[in-house]
Amino acid sequence: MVGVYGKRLAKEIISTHFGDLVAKVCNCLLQSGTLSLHEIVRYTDMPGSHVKNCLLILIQHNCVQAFCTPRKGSTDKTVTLYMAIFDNIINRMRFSKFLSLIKGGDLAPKDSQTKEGQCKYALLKGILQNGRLTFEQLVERSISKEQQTDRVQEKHQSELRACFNELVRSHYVERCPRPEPFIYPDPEDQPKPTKRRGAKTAEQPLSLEQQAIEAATLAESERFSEIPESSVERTGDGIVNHSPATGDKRKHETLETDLDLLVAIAENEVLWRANFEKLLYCLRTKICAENVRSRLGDDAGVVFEAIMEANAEKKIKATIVIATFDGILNNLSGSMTLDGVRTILDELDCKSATDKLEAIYSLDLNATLEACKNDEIEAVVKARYGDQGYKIFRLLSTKDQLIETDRIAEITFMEKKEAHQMLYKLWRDEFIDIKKVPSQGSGESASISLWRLHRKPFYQTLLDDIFHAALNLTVKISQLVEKQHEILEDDMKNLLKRKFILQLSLLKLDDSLMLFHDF
Amino acid sequence: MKFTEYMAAVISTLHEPKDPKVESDELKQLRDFKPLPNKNNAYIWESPFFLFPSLARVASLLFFSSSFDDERNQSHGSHSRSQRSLVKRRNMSGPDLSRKRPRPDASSRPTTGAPAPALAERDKILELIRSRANRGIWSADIKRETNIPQTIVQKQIKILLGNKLIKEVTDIRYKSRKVYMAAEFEPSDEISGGTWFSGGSLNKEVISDVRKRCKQQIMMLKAATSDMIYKGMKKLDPNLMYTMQQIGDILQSLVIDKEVDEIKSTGKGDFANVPAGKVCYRIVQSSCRTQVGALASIPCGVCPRLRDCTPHGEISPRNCEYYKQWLGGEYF
Repeated sequence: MVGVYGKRLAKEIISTHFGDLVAKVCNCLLQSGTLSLHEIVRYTDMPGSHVKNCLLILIQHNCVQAFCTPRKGSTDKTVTLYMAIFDNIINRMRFSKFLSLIKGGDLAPKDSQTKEGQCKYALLKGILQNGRLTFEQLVERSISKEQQTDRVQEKHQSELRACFNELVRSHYVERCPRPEPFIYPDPEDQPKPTKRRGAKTAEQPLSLEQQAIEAATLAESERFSEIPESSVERTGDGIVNHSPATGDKRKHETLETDLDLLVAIAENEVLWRANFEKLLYCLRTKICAENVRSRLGDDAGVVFEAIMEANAEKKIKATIVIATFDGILNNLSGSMTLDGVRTILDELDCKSATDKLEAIYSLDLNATLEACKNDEIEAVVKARYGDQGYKIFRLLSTKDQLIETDRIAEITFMEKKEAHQMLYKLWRDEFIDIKKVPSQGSGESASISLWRLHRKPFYQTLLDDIFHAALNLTVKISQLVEKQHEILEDDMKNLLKRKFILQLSLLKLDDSLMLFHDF
Repeated sequence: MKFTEYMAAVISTLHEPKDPKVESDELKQLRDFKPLPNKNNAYIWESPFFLFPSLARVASLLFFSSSFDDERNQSHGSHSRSQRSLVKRRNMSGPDLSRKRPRPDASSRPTTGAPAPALAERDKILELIRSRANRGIWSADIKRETNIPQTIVQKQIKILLGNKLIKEVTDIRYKSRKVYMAAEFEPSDEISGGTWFSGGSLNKEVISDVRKRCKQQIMMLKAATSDMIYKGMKKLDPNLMYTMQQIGDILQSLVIDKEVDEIKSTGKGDFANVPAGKVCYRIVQSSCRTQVGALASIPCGVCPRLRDCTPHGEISPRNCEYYKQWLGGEYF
């Protein structure tokens, strides 16, 4: 469930990247849910052609998904509905982080940059900038930048294909989902005639959205199927055919023709886009590894990254990571002893099992994610309420149970009055909950106050605050960009410095956003 | 008969005898005066004052301003010497002047020591305070349980304090209350706050010292259980006056302050001295402690008006004072 400020932030991002008209259409979908073209035109009060163009831009950049559904009250007519994909809009803030994941790329240290890395970087950058591209378009883009001769271009194209396939194999890039899947709503979800139209529209999108996303997603094998090499290239490179040639020459030629067709389709027709799920998985690994490194040391951080890399299923929402011991060792490239690795695996609280004579370790990421979230929350509490508030919050956070005021004052070594005041401040700002219990003793106060931290509602409130802060930073950056045209050259340096500070702060805040929203 | 001489002198001023040498009948009667006791044991001069009203008037004027009560004489202290001597003479055993109002009986006058009811009240209060032993009792509770008026309770407590039979102690739970305890008792931990309190407030120096010693032990052992830490501290200081429980409280406060980590031992590496699975303590790395959160490092994270802020409202990032200070310039 996205809060008010989440939607405002999404609108601000679209406005910054594509302009106010596109932002208006996007905001309409974010606020009202799934709508048809006709409804969007009505709500935005814009001409139909403008709305169509805006929708095309949003679909091109994976911010909107279209799907077909039977028209209400009709069995043979269909209507195309459009839904905004909030997560993909927010991902637009993270393009620079996604590009930094490419090893040896342009964002890597200069001494570790490789040609292959730079090639992958350029390909991913092109896809992120343009939303969806065919391989041919990527090649044209690359060629136009480098201005090469035809012969060099051919060689360059094969190099590009190799790098591109590497990206696909690593799941950084995927084939685009189906553009307009057909969804037949579940009979149970069909609205009753007594309900008002507005209520129907509000109720349906929840189930329809999830169905639409699922229907649009391709199967795993199709999603990450690479671009095959053409028969000419195979013969030229001396690579053995995947499908071994038979003795029949005609059949061989037919096969070659089919292969060339497949290659042509894959290069010219198939649209490719960035796989945000894999990219977010890599960012999650990075953030958690940093936390593990700070708590348990550099070696623990290295082993953690190796476990995450050796994990077979790289799903962003999966919190249990399973890896074989051999897979972990392969990713460590012999930098540590076996005993050292086992010690660290125990420290990380990994559970070991044996499957077909192979040692398997499973790691629960929840503990690490909770530790990261706690660090973020405790820093906010310390900044707002000082050491006393921090101590009380830490106590309630670690104990996770109802505790009486006197006991809190005892454990934290605070005066009772000070503890009481701080607890009320935290409660007033919705950081903790209170429960009053009637007191039995005579002559004492009528009730005893018990305090507790309720994580789920608190996380939701904090997430909204993070969205709000990110929105404020975005607005401030826009303000500085507007000022760039007005100020003198002398002040430009200072302005750019301030803009840089704001942009870095936004990137850092985005880590917290991912912690509480995406991971 | 000094009084008659004095009266004679007075009368002589009032009445001029025809012949100073001739003694008047009045003077004769005065000279021959024999006082007669009345019903209330008050001495009155019947004949002279009835016979000589003017004399009675003078006598009443003289005695009107004098006080028959010793305490009143002492407290006022403003009487003339003659008046005081008159009173003294009269109180000793001298004849009493007749008054318009009967005087109170001498036996019914209060004596110079504390009256009996007041003593009883004092004893009752002292007994009640003693019954509370080392817990003490609040002054309002004394009043409620003894049914003695507040002013008297306060007065008796003052006397008891002066006599050092009771003492006033501070209850850390209710600092504004006056709690009294018998002098022979020491306040319980509930009242005084225990080891970590002195004079009704936290003894931060003592707490800081114990925390430092605990951390030293953990650093020496790399990873240690609370038992190991306690034994180590005891070894260094045989006169250590803290219990295991108190050391446990200190360790808990170190965990809360993120100076020490509470984890389960793996039995390997740094945890070699601790059996696997046992809860032990380890020093937290300084890098972990100094991390600043992303939200806390920008003005919005600590802003008290965040919920009122909107992009184009009265409070907005465009005109935010905190952003101006953070970015270092009025222009931004």
